[in-house]
Amino acid sequence: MIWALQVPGYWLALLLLAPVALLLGAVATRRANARTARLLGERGDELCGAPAFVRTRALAAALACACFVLALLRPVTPGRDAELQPDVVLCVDVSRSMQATDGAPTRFDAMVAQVEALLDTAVGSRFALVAFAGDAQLVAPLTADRAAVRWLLQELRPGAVVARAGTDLSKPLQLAAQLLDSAHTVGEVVLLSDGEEQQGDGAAVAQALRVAGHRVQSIGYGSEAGSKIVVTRGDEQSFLQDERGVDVITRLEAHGLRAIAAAGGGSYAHAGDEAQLAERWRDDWLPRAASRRMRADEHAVAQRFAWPLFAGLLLWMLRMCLPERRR
Amino acid sequence: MIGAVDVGFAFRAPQWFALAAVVLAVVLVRRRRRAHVATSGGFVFADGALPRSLRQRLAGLPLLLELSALLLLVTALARPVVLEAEPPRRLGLDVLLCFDRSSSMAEQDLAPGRSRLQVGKQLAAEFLLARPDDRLGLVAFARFADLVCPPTVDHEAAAGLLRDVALVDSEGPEDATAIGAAVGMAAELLQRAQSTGKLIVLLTDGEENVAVAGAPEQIAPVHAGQWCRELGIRVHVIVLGKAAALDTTAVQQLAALTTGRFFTAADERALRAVYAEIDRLEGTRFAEPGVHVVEWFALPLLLALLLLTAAHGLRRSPLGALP
Repeated sequence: MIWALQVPGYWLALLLLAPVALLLGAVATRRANARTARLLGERGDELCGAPAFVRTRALAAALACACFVLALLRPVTPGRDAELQPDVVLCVDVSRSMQATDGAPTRFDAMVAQVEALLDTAVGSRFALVAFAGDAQLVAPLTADRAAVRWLLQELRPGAVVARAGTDLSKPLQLAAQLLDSAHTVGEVVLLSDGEEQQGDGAAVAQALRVAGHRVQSIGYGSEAGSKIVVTRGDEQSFLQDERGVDVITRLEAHGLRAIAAAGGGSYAHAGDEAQLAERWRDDWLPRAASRRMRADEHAVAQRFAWPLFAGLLLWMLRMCLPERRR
Repeated sequence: MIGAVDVGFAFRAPQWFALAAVVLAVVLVRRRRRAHVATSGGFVFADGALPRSLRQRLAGLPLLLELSALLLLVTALARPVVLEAEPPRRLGLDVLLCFDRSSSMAEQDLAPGRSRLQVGKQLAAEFLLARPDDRLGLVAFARFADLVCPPTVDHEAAAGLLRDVALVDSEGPEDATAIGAAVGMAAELLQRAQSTGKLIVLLTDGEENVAVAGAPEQIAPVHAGQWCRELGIRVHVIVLGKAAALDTTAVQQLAALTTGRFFTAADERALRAVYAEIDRLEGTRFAEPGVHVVEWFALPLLLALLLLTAAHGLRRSPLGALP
C-alpha cells in the first residue's frame, strides 16, 4: 500500500514530546511510590494491595503515546482521483553506435522494445521524448498521450534525427531539465544509451537535476566487449569504418552512465529484458512520485490519522481499565 | 455536497462522537475504583471523618482531566475542519492545430516579405501561448500528415516545435494537400484525450488533392468531418489567401458538420482577427467551485495530550489519592 506522512513543521518537537512525557511520567510514578512507601511503611501492600499490571500499563501508555504522535504526523494514502504517477523524460540515444549488433538484434531495437513496454504499462504517467547524439532534439514534450509518444519513437532511427554526430550526454539532460521546469513538475529523467560520451559533462548536469528535485536513471546498452556498427546502403550491409578503413568497434561505457546516475540521485542498470523499464516504473518511480505528491498535495490524499488515533484511544482506555493494585 | 455554501467549520466524521459513550463508561469504571484516602504531606485523612479540605476536593481532578482528554480525542477523531472556498479551476480544451506546409504556403501575400507559413506560424504560436489552460498539439501536413507535437500543456515546447515546421519541396513527391488525412490524424489524437472540450483548428491555403476520385483509400475532408462529429470534436477552418480562387466546398462542409466555423484570411490582420474570434468562441470554462480543507484535528489532540500529562502528574503528586 502506498502511504506517506504530511509531516507538520513542528515534527521535531513532536518526536521529542513523547519520550519526554513518558520520562516525566515514570519519574512522577517513582516518586509517588516512594511517598506511599514512606507514609504507609511495610503495610503499604496490605492496605492498598500489591502493584498489578505495572508493565502492561506502562506499555499501553507508551504505545498510546506513539500512536498519538503518529496521528499528529498525518499519515495519508492516495485519494480517489489522485494523479500520482511520475512524469518521465526519456532521453534516447540515436547515435550510430546504437546500431551495433550486441543488442537484440541491435542496441537501438532493444531500447525501443523496452520503452514500448514501459509506455504500455505506465498508465497515468506523462512522458517526454528527447533524441540525442552529439546534440539533443525534442521529439515530444510532456504529454499524457502515450500512444503518440510510441508513434514518435517508432519514427526514430540511429544516425538520423540529430544532425550532429557523436554522443554528448549533458545535452539531453539539459533539455530534460528545461522540459520539466517549463511544465512545473518534478520527474524522472531516464538516459538510455551505450554511454560513449565523447563530449560534455553529464555528471555535472545530473547533479543540478538532483538539486532541482529530479532524479536521473541510466540504462546501458551493448557489451563491454563491444561490437561493430552495421551500415545499410540499399540492399547491402557493411560495417562502419574509420578514416583508416578499419572497422569501428563500439563498446558499452558503463562507467560514465553509472557516474551520471549516481550524481543524479538515481541508479544505473545494464539493459535486461523488455520489461525492465516497466518494472522499474512500477516498483520504484511510481511509489516515489506518489509519496512525494501525497506529501505536497492536499487534494491528492485521503487523511488516515484516525487509524493511529483510534488505536491510541483504545490503548489508553485499556490502561484505565486495568487496576493499579490487586486488593 | 461541497459547494459555495458549505464553507466554514464542520466535522467531517461526526459518527465518531458515538465513541463518547464508551469513554464515559470507562471513566465510570475507573471512578468506582477511586481511592477513599488521600495523601497530604505526612498525614493520612480518613474519608468522611473530617471536613473535606481543598486537597481532598482536588483529588478527583486527575480523573476529570483524563475524561476531558478522552473527549478531546473523540473530537479529534470526528475530524474538525475549516472549509475555505477556492477560486474556480479553469478547464482547458484539447486543441489540435493542423498546419498546411505544402509549397503554396511559400506565397508572400499575407504580409510583405514573409510567407504564409511564417505568418501562420507566428500567429498560431501567439494563439496557443495565449491559452495557457489548454492542452495543445500540432499536426503538419502536405501529402502526408505528420504528428509534430502530441497534446501537451508545455506551450513553450509546442511553440518551439511549431517554429521547426518547414515547407515541403515545391513539385516534390510530398507537395500536395491532404486535408482529410490531417484532420483524421488530429481526430485520432483527440479521441484519446480525457477532456470534454476537443477542438481542431485547420489552417490551409489549398484544396484537398490527395483524397480524390480514384483514391478511395484516402480520407476525404467530409469523411474526416463525420468522424469528428461522432467524437464530439469541433473543427474551425481557416483558408489563407484569396478564397475566391479556391473551391472551399469540402472544408466548409467539414466545419459545418462539426458545428465549427469557416474563416478566410487574405492578410495578416485578417488572420489575427480570425484567431481572436476563435479565442472568443472557445472561451475559458470553469470547473465546479472547489473547497480547500484545513484540518484542525491536531489542536484537540495536542490539548488531549497536555491534559493526559497533567492528569498523570497530578495523580502522582501530593494531591493525588493513595492507590
